[in-house]
Amino acid sequence: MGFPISSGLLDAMVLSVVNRNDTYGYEITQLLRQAVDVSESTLYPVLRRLQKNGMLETYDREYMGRNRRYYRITDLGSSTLSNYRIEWKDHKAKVDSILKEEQAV
Amino acid sequence: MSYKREEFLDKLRSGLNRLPADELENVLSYYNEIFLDAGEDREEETAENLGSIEDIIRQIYAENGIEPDGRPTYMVEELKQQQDNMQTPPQPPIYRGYTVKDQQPVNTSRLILLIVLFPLWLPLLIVSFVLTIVFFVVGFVIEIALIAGGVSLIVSGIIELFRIPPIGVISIGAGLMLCAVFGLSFRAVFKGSWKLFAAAINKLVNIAHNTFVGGEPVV
Repeated sequence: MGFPISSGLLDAMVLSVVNRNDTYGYEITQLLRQAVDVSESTLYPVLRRLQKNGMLETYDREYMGRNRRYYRITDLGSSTLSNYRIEWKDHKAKVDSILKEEQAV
Repeated sequence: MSYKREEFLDKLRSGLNRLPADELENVLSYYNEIFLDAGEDREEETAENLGSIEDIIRQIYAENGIEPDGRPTYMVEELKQQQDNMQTPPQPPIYRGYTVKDQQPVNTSRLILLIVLFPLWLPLLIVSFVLTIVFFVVGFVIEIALIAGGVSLIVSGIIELFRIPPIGVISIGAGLMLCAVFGLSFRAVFKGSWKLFAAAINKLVNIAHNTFVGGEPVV
């Protein structure tokens, strides 16, 4: 993919994925991979940071005899996500206005 | 290069041995889970997808404010940041690339400035170093003089007591006072000089760190 993905955008995408329903590390990466080229290694610091900033919380659930760590969005995470969505819409519109093909005036 | 799960986790564990225990545990269980969720028959492929272990280690150290050589940087500042984070609503994260190189560029302008100003700061450095040592030595000498004077006054006072008792009493009293001053100042003087010394070294390391590694991520 030609466009590098920024840290802020990645945060927003992770929040959005977790916002749909509680999920775990591997699944988050798989979902994000549908849109961007990220690895679990890229995602670890993102998840950790969102946790430390109080936007995500975790809980462990047993799965096939082992623990799986699930991520859940917090109220702070939800409100941050709404802000991100507004910012992204705005950003996208601006980029589109520059990228659109010229029209005959 | 690819590692199987155990091998991968072992390398991660030994590479991240300077990380706080709970943080290390978090990293290891995360990666362990990824391997297991991806499927046991796909360990080679998973390891390949995860990329270079060295990069992972470097990035995790960077995120935790630990330099790869193991020196924790700016623990005080980090603490302050945490407090700030608690007080103010979190800012949108700073946009930055994902390699460690991008996060910590060499600050060229500062480096050049440092080299150009070399004739200025080197003498200053030496002078401050020498002054610190002088403080240390002078403090030491004063302490020695205090205890030696105090003890000899007490001893001579006891001898004097049998010849001219009032002078003996005064002498013992003065000696005791000197010993008391010694006792009170001993720790302060040595701790003070040591702190001064440590502060000077710290300052130097900070300047070097800011110059060669870069204090803030590039926006």
